[in-house]
Amino acid sequence: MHICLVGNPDDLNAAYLGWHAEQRGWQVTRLSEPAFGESWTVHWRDDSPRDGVLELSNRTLRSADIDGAIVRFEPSPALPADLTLEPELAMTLIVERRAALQHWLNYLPGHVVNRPSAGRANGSKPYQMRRLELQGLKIPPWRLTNQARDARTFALQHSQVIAKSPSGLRSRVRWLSDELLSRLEHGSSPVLLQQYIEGVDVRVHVVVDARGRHAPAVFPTEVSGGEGVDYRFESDNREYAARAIPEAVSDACARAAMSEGLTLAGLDFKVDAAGQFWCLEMNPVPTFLPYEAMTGQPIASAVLEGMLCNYGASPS
Amino acid sequence: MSIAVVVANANSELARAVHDALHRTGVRCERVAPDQLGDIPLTIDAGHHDGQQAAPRIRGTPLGAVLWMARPDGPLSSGWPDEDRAFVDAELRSAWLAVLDHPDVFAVNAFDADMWFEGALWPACRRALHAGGAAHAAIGYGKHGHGPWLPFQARELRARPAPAAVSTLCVPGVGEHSAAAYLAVFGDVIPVDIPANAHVGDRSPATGTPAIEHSHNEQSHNEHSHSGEDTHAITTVAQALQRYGIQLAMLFVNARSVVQWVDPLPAVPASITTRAAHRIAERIHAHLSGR
Repeated sequence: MHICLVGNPDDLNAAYLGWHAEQRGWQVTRLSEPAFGESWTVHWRDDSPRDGVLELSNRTLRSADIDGAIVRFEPSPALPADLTLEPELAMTLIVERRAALQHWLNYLPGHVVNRPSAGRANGSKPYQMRRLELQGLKIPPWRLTNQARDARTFALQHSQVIAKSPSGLRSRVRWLSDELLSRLEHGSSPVLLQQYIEGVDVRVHVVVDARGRHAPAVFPTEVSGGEGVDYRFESDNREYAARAIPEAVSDACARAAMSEGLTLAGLDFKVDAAGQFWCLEMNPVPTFLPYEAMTGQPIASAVLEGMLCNYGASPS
Repeated sequence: MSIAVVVANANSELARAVHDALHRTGVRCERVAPDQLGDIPLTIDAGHHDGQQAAPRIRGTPLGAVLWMARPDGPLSSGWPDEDRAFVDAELRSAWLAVLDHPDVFAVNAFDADMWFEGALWPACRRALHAGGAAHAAIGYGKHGHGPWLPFQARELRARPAPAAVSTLCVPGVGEHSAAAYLAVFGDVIPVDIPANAHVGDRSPATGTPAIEHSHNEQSHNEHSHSGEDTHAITTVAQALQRYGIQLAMLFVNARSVVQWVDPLPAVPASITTRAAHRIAERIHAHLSGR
């Protein structure tokens, strides 16, 4: 087996998967985005991606011989070493290079975790929530608004209301407050209001075979010790424990990932006192490392097994 | 009746024509410049509200249709402080994708998240063609990249840059110049002449896409004809795109009438603006009146 780590091979999740692959005796090629055009490049046509080649400084690989790729991009990738450009030109290079790499990865034969075109719904929470609901996941009631009056109406209908960023930007979840209402009165970008679900936090990592030839691997983890409404930001004493989840939830998670073209996804839930699973979002670039490290769940192995399962596959 | 919104820059003739045509049929229609979207009162609810489907509301009025003619990754928040604009743009982009996707809203184009967050660039359209089984010409890179350069952001053909830039940028080559263009509207196609001195290469201020202005005084780019056979093949492509939510797009074809690339935010030539606007307004009116 031969896989590539593309984008930022030093990303902890990518590096861990690469190390695991090497432990299995697989060949791992690291393709850093800033080094594109210097130490590696590609030659290919999008009507016959299997016939393309990956050219490295010391050898050439056929695309058809690459069995998989792990993709983790840097939000702000660097220019090639020793290249200095005016800011506008630098931005053009970075954007064009990223688009070209994404085009290549979207067509690359084999198993890609994840293709850049997959899971983009995560950039819009209201859009994504509608899609998750279609896959059978229960979503807490929500309203997106930039109007204080509509925010107040929603707050009257629900006992506890939180406010989130509607976009995919990583931001802290907060209670709907007088301060936020005042901001809305004076003109604000839209906020996503949602009924707060009292309960425990559960992250479900799911590894699926995009071609449906292999049963999904599902890894639910309960996160406790969090304080406040957003455990990601509000506690240093989190505890992680593997737990069981209903089959219907597990199946819905797999369907949701597959419907977005994802081979690895992380879904966040709140589980209320009645045992109801409320889905908050699905992350297409999940940081699974702490969950594996703290619970021993073999998430990385499952990702690599997925690559074996898709051996020789082409993009669907 | 719900209202319609046209999101386009003030100089978009198609937007003006659609707006006027809707007014003539009694549809309340609002034109909004993309960079003014941050000033529009907007509320979207989860799919159902008290058992009823709840449409998005702008200024408190249900929104039933949107004609979107702006780059999704363009500026949406011109009136905001510079330091806030990147954040506000992201939030508005997220909100308006949800508007376009809403089951009550008739959207042209009904972009999906892939297309939207890729800035409606041509690779996403090519994936739509691929998914729809529509034939398209290959685009190549490196040793397989020949002919004019089709940048991702500019969406216009340019001369191939120097080898070092080709390598560093990973320049896509389309093999040959476009021979003809068609405007796809709801699965049908309208031929568009590409004049010899077409402004392909100029960025339209409205959409950032190449402006192709038809002029009867100009010679056509070549002798490519829009024959019936060609049009049939291109119609198949337009229908494939429509199934993917792309009802309005410019299709650029090579000398063999094979689609090279697609612009889903087209600058529509003046000669066909009225025709295209009529079709769009008709569909929006039909949706809003429940037909």
